[in-house]
Amino acid sequence: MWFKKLVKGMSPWLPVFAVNILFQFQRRSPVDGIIFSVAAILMILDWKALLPIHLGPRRVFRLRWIILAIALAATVLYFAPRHSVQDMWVLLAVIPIAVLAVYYRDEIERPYDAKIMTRTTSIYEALGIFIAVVELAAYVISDRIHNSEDFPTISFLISPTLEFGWVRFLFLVIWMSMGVGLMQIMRGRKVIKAIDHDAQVIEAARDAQARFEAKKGFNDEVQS
Amino acid sequence: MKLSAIIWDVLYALPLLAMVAIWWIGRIKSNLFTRVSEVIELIMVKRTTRIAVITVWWWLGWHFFSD
Repeated sequence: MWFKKLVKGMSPWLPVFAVNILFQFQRRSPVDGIIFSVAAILMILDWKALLPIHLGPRRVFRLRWIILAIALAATVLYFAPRHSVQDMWVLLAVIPIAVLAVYYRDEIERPYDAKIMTRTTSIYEALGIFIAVVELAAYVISDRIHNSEDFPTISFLISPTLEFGWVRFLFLVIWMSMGVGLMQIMRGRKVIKAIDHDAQVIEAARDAQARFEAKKGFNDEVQS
Repeated sequence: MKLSAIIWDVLYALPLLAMVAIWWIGRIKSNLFTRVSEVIELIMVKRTTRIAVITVWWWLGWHFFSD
């Protein structure tokens, strides 16, 4: 009973993060463990409404600034050696932007076809879990028999290509574009455009009504 | 390249290709699958989920570029 009360309203991501944190510390990667621990603490504080912050509406980022940020970051990664201090600063600079893009008032769900949505999300989840299981199996086997060539993890496959500057450039553009998509920054712009459009329509309607009433008043005056 | 390595590569590639296929079908036949943008919109409604998803995304960048 007390357990049910304790976990009421808990995000399903929290247990996943808990397992991940244990895994990261177990594989002697304390930095990764700390990153996920901080996120988990933020999620708990948010879930229990312990963050004393005022949440405004979704923030809007102009497209030119998004392109400039991606281009700047990709250029730094192109010229700087891999795992350099510059790389670290670029990644750290993304954090405040991500925080700004994430902390806004929860919006209302738009209507959707539940059947099609469930079908789509179930398949995506199944495929995601499948990749995670294959990756975990590759990690465990390669770690036990010390052979990453035959049982490669995704990192093992991708890592060598990232030694080239242009590959880092390309990967960073893809990675940051994914972030823009996930944070729905572009959708935010569309929403603002729609709001501006609605405001213009309302203004035009008010003008038309005022003109109509002025004309009606004039006609009434002429008739009387 | 050994057979086990090829099998492992295929195991990674197949689900990724399936994801791309579903994304594409969702774009042209919306009565079969929902568009990815609508899925993201739905899962990002709650702030706790937003924190989790963005953390995983950021960590991927950190892991590959800086870690």
